[in-house]
Amino acid sequence: MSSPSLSAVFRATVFQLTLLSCAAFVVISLIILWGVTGYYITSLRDQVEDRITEESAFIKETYERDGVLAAEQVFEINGRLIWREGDIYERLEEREIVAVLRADDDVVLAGYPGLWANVGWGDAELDHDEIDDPITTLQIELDTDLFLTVGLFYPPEIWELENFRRAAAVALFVIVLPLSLITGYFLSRSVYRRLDTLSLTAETVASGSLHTRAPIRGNGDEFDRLSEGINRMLDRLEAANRNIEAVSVGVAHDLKTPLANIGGRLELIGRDLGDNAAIEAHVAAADAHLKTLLGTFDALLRLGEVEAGQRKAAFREVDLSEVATDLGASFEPVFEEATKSLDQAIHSGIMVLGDRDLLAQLMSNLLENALEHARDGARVWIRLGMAGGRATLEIGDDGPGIPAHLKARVFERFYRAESSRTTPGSGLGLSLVKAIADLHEASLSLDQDAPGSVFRLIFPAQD
Amino acid sequence: MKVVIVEDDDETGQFVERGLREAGAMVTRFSDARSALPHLASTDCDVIVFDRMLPGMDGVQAVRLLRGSGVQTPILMLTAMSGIDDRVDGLEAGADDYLVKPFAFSELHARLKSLLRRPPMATDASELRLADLHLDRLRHRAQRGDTVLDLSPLEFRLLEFLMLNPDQVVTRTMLLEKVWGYSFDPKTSIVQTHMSRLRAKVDKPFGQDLITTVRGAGYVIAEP
Repeated sequence: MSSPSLSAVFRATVFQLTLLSCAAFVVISLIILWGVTGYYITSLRDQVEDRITEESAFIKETYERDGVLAAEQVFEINGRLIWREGDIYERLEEREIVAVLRADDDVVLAGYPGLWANVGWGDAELDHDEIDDPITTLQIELDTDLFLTVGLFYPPEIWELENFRRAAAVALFVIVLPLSLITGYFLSRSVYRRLDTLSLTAETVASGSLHTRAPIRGNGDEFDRLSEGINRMLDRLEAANRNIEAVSVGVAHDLKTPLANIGGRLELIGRDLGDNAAIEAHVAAADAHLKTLLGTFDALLRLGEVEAGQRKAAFREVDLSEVATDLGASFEPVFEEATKSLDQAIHSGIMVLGDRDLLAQLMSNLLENALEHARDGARVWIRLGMAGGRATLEIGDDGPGIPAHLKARVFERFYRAESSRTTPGSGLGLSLVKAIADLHEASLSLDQDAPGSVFRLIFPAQD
Repeated sequence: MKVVIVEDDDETGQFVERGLREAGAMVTRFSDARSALPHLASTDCDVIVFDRMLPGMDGVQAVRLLRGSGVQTPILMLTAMSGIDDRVDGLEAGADDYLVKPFAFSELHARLKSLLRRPPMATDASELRLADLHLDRLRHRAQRGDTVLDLSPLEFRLLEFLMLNPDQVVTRTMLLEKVWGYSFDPKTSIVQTHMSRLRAKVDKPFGQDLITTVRGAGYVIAEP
């Protein structure tokens, strides 16, 4: 098996589907990731801002109520109003407020001089030798040229969340996408290979070698099932093809011969004009040939009708015993006149699901076959009974039987044992029997039953 | 007998028309349903022969239309199709009988006669009589004069069907359809065999034949 080309694999549906579903997976994962982390980050920011708003409101209130000196007192740490760099470590550790009160732009009244910000909300960095953690700030003007700036370090969770989501996005793109590409490639390559063998089988069959079959792995997977289905189909086709050959020969013989005979008789009528007795004989003979021809046509049409399977829709409960009894009674005198006998052993009340008319024709054809092929004085028998919950019909005789190598062929269309080529009959009778049996899902076999043979029909069990 | 034939195939039409004229019938022939329908609606006739496949409106449709407009004349359908479903379609549309092409003229004639007789003798009568032949349908007993006939159930059914259609030709296919209930035609001569057995019991011992063979057509039961 050759390895499929890369572009063929990429064009394969499986590959495209794998890729598409992975892309969808990545996009949906990103949306969920952003949504969930975004929600937490926002709520953390809200907490920070609440804290800042609260603190600035307190200072503002103090200033408005008790004046600037009182407000300055709020900033006191370790007895100092102006903070030093060293104080910031503790603030960062404790996640405490960092603030500054300035007058006239750059005169620091209280707080940390290294905190710079613009009016309103903003993000800033401290002017500090070692600490450069970002800080959220709010600057308000308490009075003309008196500015209060309040800030709070970002909670570390925000950092962690943001880092996490960045890392996850990278992982999705860098790991999942290539992985899906590889998975898709190998998946579609294996599917492609199996389909390729099926295509190859189809091509081979199309090029005329009808005996080719799709390989079967034996693990019963969907490809095996497909291959089995295709093989069954090919079996049918091959059989049908073989049949057509037999049929064309059969049609040539069974339809052309009577036609030729009719033509011959017409010619004779032309020659014998005036001789009424001769003409009458020709007409009678031509009529007999015509009947043979029509019989073959009818059988072919019937066969087509049965094999098309439409009759199945009209299946109903049929009293098989009654049909068999009726046919037994109808044929018994015919057998007697042919110096043969017909023994009947029919259990009553055996019902099957089927088509009464076709079942009658099936039995009639089997009886006619026995009538035609059993030797003079033969004992033919018809038996109907239940065996293992299944209705079983047997029609057999006590000789001469059918040679083993011909048994498989008797159900073929237009097949007739060479010796009986000349006897009347279309050679379709048993094909029709087989087709009717198939329509009823009944198994039909021709068994040796020394000294004769027996046709055995076993219907499916009824529930 | 006034017969209307609706048949597009000229050969078949001529064949049927000539046969019926020779049998003394008055025949009107149409080659499609559209031209036949107005005539059928306005003129009385005894029986109609309709081809199943006609150009334009097919026979089944035409029959349904006729029956819908209240025409009760017996109808026989001709068809080249022999599938059971085709048969059922025709009868469901309102045709009274059905004949598959090709057919012998005698077969068509016998069937038309049988349709004209409809309804024949009360089909639910419990006793049938013809000359000195007496059939008790309830007790399944046949008697000729004082002699009780020993008939098989099948022979009884054959005789019963003949007696329900006295003085009429009953064909082999009619017997297969009506007595046996088969729509297929066995190659074997089961009808002939049983008929000859029946006649051996009904006629032979009495020296007077009620049942006669009509050559190439079928059988008739009639007063001698």
